[in-house]
Amino acid sequence: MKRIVGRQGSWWLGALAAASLPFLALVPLGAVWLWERQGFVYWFLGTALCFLAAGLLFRRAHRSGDRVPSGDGTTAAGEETPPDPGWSPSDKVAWQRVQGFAAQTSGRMLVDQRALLATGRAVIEEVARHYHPERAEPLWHFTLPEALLLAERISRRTRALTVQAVPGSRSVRIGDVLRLYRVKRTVASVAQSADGPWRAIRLAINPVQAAAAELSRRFQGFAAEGLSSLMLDRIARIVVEEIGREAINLYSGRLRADIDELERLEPPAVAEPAAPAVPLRLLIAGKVNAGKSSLVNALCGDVVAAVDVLAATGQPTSHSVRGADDRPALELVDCAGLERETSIPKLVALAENCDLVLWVAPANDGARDLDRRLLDAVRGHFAGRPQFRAPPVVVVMSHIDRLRPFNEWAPPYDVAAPTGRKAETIRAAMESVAEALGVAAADVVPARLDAGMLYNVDAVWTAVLARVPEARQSQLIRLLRLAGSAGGVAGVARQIVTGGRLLSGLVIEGIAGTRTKT
Amino acid sequence: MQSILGRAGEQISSFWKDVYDTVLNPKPDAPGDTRIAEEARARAPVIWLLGMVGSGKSSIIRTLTGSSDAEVGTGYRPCTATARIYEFPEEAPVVRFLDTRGLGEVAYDPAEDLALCEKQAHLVLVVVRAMGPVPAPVLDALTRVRRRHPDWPVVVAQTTLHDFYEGPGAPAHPLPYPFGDGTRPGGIEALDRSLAAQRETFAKLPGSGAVRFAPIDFTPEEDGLAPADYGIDRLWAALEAGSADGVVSMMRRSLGSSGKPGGGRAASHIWGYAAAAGAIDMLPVAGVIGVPVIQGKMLHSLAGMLGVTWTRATLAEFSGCLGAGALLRFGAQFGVRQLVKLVPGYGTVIGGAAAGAASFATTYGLGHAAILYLSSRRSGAQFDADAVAEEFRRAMAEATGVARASRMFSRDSDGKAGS
Repeated sequence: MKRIVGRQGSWWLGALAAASLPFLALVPLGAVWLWERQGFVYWFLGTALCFLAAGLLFRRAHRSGDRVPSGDGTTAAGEETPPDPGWSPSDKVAWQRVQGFAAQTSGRMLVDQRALLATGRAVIEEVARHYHPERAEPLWHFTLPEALLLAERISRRTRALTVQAVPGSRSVRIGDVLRLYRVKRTVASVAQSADGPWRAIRLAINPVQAAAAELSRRFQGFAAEGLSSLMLDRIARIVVEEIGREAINLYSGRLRADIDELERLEPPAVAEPAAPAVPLRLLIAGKVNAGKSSLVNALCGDVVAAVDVLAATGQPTSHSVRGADDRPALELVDCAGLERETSIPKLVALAENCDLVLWVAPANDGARDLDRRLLDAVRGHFAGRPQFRAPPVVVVMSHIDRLRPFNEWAPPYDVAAPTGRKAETIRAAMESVAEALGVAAADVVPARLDAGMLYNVDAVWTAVLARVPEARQSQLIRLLRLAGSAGGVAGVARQIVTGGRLLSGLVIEGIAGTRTKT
Repeated sequence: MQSILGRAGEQISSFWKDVYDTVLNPKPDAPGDTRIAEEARARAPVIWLLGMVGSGKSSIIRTLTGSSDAEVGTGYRPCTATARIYEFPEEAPVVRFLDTRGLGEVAYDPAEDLALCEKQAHLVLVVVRAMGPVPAPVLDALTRVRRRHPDWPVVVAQTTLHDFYEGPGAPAHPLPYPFGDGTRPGGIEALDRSLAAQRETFAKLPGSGAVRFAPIDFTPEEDGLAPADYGIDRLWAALEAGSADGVVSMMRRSLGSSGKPGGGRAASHIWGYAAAAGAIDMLPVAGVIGVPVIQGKMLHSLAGMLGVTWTRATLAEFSGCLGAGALLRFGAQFGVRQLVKLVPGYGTVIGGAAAGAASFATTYGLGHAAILYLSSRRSGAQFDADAVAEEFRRAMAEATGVARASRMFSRDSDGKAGS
């Protein structure tokens, strides 16, 4: 500044201010004049139209730069927003019910305060009843930290969506400001008064409603009826959907932990190895002598598990694989050989605590009834618990060298387009395994796992890596469950002590707890 | 005495007339054929195969019967919800394999199979892959069997030895067969340990019946593992040792000759006719079909299998060299027991046997003698009447011994077995 205006700059500024003051005074004076003449509305309308025109022109000018939001944001009034990818089947059912409400909303809801509150409450009650049908008052089945997190999340998402999905919403600055102000106050006041969860939710909705009220007051019917009814419908739908979405998060127990915090615990795919991470846990299961320990050794790249012609493994053992290059860190749980159906409870308990199942099935053993029954038991276990998420299953078909012709071993074998008899046999065995075990043919990886004669272990890795995103979802839900289950008296006590760092501690503790159990 | 001989002569000629008529002018006789098959089925020894799917039971059936895949594949009758019976040969079985295919499946109850086998099972043949521990379902079922029948012998076939063969080049069986009585090491360390561990497991079975082991590897020719029936002698030896009454030995001979060229499957069919003939004497209502008719049917069908046609002349020659044709007819008239005591030589063979056992033995002997006779007729070789007579005597003696030892036709245990 000094360089531009020089040493006498303050004098220059003073002079400039004095000269412009009369003109600046015209702004408030003009406003007063408009107000007194009842002309303020026309000015406001004109301003709005100008902004609208400016917005349209701006969009046209910056068509390439103007990014149309994808996903949730492109939703029109009549379209459904897809459920979150990480939701369990039970959550998705709840989401369908929310969609039922969303389909019936109209923009009018926003201008009628009571209608908005009633709809919001109805959505929340519906979701609460879905999750806690056994309770007389399902609405109250959550904790204060959950409610606070909920209010914060609704506000944040609604704002983002409104900005993204409603053209011109940014120009309604008054509502924006008002809402942001009230969001702050909401969280603060709820934290102070702790006057009930419903209040927290209602206050969270209020900013939206306030924004709508502002709109309706300013536009005075004209806007609500004509120009922006589509805009209002969209906002209404977003509001209902967001209330529903967050209600699902609340009552499914997901908010007992802040998802962001959990996400921070996840190891990045290409990790700095030092970052704290919860490695994916793989269950290696299969019949006695199927080659489970050989697979563990192959994946570890080292001899860590005893391999013998006699059943070598008695108890489940855990081995860790350090992540390297494009491979994530893994924890391999080598379950003891499964001999009979009495192993089902043990297997199911292990599967519940793992994120991906590698099922080892020998190619040369046609007795696959037991495999199928064990796998079905695991599937049935998860099917009966929609709040859980079944870990994906990859079948490793071992011992392909023992398939006919025995005296041939000349890898690689192209099973996609078999040329020789061996490749054909492998292909046939894969199809038979896939059918017997009830998995897709693509989920069967043929391999030889004998030490020193490894073949196709890379394909096992590829199959595992392809399932990592899915396995992460299973892991997330599993960890959330752990975080939730540790919320007893001891958990509350720890909450007071450790405050915000609570969750990571719980998660780690939960894992450590189950690890010592298994 | 004159009159007795005269009457005997009449009866002999009337007997051969029945046989001639049946042999030369066979009449379609569906109920009779069904009866023959049924009786054969009821008397054929049952080998109970116990093992998981894919452990090699079908290979064993194929190799023991010497039949092709298709013959075993089509010759089964589903039996219960969980077990199925393979019969060989299909029309008049010499042996039946009870295959507990669904072993270890949900709600599988071996009691059902047990009930089925209780009277018929000569042997429990456990089939396990040599590699790895004994599958739990097999062990559980076998334990239950032995609790109920502590004296039942068990033969354990340890299959798929080639899973252990490693190293460069084509895998090859160690030769000569090193396992001896099934307990000696074969020289491949992992294999020997696995076999020993399995033997240890079976040693803990309840009951007192002997448990015999036979490491085997039956593979199709195209697998290139020679010999394709590695260890078959050991398996036969174990089966024969397990079956004290000799039925398995007899069955083995019948099955063994069934694989030979020329003789075709003729020998294996004798069993069915003999079983039917033996059963006739025991049935309260015997009028449906007579022993001569069965024997006539047998002679006719054996000739068909060998590609020869009976004529009056050849039939006369054949019966002449037997010389004992009368025996058969007298058996029907007076009771074999009384008759054979009068006849030197034959009397020592079947004297004291029940009528059913005698009919069984004579039909069996007749069949084997006929095969020998017809074979030399067909090849145009020098006809040796003594050899035919000797074969008749040998086969009859064998059948008598077996029928007696196994009490196939004793009154107390009969009647229910087949139904």
